[in-house]
Amino acid sequence: MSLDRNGFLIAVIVFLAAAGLAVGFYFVGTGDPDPAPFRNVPGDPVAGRIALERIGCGSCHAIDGVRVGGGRVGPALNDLRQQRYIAGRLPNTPDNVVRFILDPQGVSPGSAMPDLRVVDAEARNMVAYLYTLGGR
Amino acid sequence: MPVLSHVPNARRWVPVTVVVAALLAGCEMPLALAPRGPAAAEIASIWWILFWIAVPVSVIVFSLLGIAIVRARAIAREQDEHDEHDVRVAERLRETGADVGLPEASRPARVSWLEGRTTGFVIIGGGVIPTLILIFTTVMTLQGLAVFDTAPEDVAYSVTARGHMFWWQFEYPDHGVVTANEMHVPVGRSVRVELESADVIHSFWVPQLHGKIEMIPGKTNVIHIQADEAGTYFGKCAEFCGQQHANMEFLVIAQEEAEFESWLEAQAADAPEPTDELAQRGRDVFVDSQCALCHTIRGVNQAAPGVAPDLTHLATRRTLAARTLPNVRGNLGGWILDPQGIKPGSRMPAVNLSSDEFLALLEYLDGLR
Ligand code: HEC
Ligand code: HEC
Ligand SMILES: [Cu+2]
Repeated sequence: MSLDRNGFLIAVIVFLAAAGLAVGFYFVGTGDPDPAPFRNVPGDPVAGRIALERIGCGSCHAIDGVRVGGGRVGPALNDLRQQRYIAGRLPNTPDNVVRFILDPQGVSPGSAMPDLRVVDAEARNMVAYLYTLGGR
Repeated sequence: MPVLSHVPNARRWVPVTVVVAALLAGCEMPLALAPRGPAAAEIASIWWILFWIAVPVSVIVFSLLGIAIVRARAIAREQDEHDEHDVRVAERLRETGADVGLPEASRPARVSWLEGRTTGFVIIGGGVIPTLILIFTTVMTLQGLAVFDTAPEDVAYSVTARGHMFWWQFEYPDHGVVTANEMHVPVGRSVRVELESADVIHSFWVPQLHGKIEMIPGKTNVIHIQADEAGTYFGKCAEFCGQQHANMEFLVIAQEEAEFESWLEAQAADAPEPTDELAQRGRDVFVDSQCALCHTIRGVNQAAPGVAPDLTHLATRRTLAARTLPNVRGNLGGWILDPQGIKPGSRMPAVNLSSDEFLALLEYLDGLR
């Protein structure tokens, strides 16, 4: 079959546009991070993102890739890895962030961050995800 | 001669068509064409009849158009060739000394089957047939829609659905139940729904169960819906009503009748007494704060009616703020502290609470089963 040149060009453009849209939606939609550079944080970042969404952390925190919520009650968590302190109380280590998520009142009495009854493994996954965000 | 060879660059469109078709194949059937109740089934069947009328009409009309374009081009091309030939003959004759002028463009005679019949064609194709089709579809549609106005004989339950900017209240007056954004119905039973509005015009639409029906201030529209299968059906406001119109959705949950009855009974009860100390403090916070001016928790307070969703059994609901958020603890916390961040323009203001008050309130509301 002989394709004339214009027809071929149009087809290529339509195809590229469609592929571009699909790829764009994929990344905007899921924001799945590349977990490779952060193997030292134990936990599954993809499961973590899903848990952040399911439990509703996004209605208080702006978190890249977490779709649900307004995110203006507490601090944005998009550069958490770079912070020296967590909740103004604990040095920033993955374990300490997990500790804070599991028991915000215990770590930071008077904090408005509620205990959301997160279980340990889930909190680890969440931290694994949060540590993929922001500058390197 | 195959028709496609008349179309210049016909092949160019083949790959485009393939790609577009592949993209369209990713689309899902719209909910309104997957009916789960008699009213929606009626609408879907009307839709399909209209569709199957539209298909041959479109095919015929676009084919005629295509033929007209293709033939006009072929005729023009033939004429050009013909004229050039005439000119060449005349020039050659003049070279031999003959005294001939350049020929007038002469038209080759082309007789089409329409010759002499065009008036009749236009009257029948453009007047008579469309009129018949329109009469048929009008009568068919009116007959189908008449089903909506006849009340079924065995109406099982009655619900008052009231549209508010930007949420829904569902009241079961015979059972003393008031709830929000989630309407329960028994499977296979006809339910009478009275549609009202508290402010502007809204439209009640559950595509799988019924067509869109307006909710008009000062007027009550009545419909009957029936869900033939247990399940959760999506509903939304279908009349633009303000800033958060897009986040004005609800769910219809169809349950077996026994299950539905026990839901009614549970919803009719007063709010459960909080057992632990924190939740008890939360109840006091609720009563003493602005929350209690707008929201009712039966057995605890009585707010001005119809201002805000009844919270008596809040924790049994699947979503918050008319399906803006899933109803989970984190979202409930975020909503209480920052409704305007989550749903800008909604009629709930942010209320200033100390973190202690907030945590107690969250504990209390999260336990309202
Ligand atoms: C009701 C609102 C609310 C919800 C829901 C919420 N948080 Fe928070 N969060 C806060 C507030 C307010 C703070 C700041 C107070 C503090 O640091 O003690 C905070 C602080 C934090 C911090 C410390 C940030 C920093 O910069 O030090 C982390 C990490 C965190 N939250 C994670 C989470 C996770 C994970 C979830 C979901 C499981 C969640 N939050 C859900 C309100 C919330
Ligand atoms: C001025 C009246 C007003 C006040 C005060 C108010 N609310 Fe609301 N609330 C509303 C309205 C209106 C909605 C529905 C919002 C929407 O979905 O657009 C709502 C929705 C809610 C919902 C979601 C209900 C559902 O079923 O989706 C909760 C929970 C809630 N409010 C809790 C509170 C609490 C707690 C307070 C006090 C801190 C409070 N509200 C104060 C008017 C008010
Ligand atoms: Cu609307």
